[in-house]
Amino acid sequence: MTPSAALSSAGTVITSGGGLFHVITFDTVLWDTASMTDLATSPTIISAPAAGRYLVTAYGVWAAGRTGLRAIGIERFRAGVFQEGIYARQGQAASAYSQEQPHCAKFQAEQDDTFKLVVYQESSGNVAIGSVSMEVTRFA
Amino acid sequence: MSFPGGGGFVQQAAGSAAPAGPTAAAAGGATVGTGGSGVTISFSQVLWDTDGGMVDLDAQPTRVTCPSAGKYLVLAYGVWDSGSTTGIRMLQLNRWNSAGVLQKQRIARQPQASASYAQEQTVPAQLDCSQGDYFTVLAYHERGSNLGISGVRLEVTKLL
Repeated sequence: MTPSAALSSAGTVITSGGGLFHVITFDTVLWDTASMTDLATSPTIISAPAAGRYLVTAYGVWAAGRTGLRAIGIERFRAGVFQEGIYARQGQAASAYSQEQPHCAKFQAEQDDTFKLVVYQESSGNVAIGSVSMEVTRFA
Repeated sequence: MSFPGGGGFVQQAAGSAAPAGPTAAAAGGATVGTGGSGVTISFSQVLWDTDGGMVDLDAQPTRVTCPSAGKYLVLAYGVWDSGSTTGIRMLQLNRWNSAGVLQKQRIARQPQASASYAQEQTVPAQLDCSQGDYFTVLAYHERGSNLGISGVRLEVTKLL
């Protein structure tokens, strides 16, 4: 079966600024066809079970109430070392609304490379992000 | 904010593969009134439908339907008309079960970037679906008066 896995998180609170992305810790396996996830030991990653090209989608919903920058990114690591990242950055559309960030990228990966979902915000205060998910599927 | 690895975006992995399963896409547009509950796009064109039956413009012009259970790649896209920067623009991808109960939402929401330009929005997702689940696209804005959205596409491909 095609290797594919998806993780989700009910959410977390992200502090403002600091210049560094926050890595999402997941709490639920939505599906996993190839032992790509292990929430007990590595709740932040989805692993590539074989070399190939992977489609990665992600999603998060920032809470309403503040303005400022929001960012989401998908990062690839090899033996724990950062290799590359694909990011999306936007302003909060309106303080009255939540701010959703759908995201998508393709990566070329080696066996045991890992993917992480990272987020960042600059609102001058704490902002919760919920309904977070990341899905990884080998497509070639 | 700093981006690891030099702060730049990297080139996407080259190459692509033929879809693993059935795939279909529909296109259309609408004039959307301001506020309210938005407009579910009624599609006017089938761009492709490899197995036939995922799109039925006569009976269900707002839907693309999953022919079997599995994991699906779904993309929604639309282009809001230019002319105003007032209010937000929103494109919402909805997954419904075969009984018509909403299962999942994926949303893109942003302000109009410029009155001089159209405002494009994309919503990608990988979703676990049952046979008979279907997808729709909802368009919503708060411009204060009617606004057109065109080039709306709903593309659904079974990955596994």
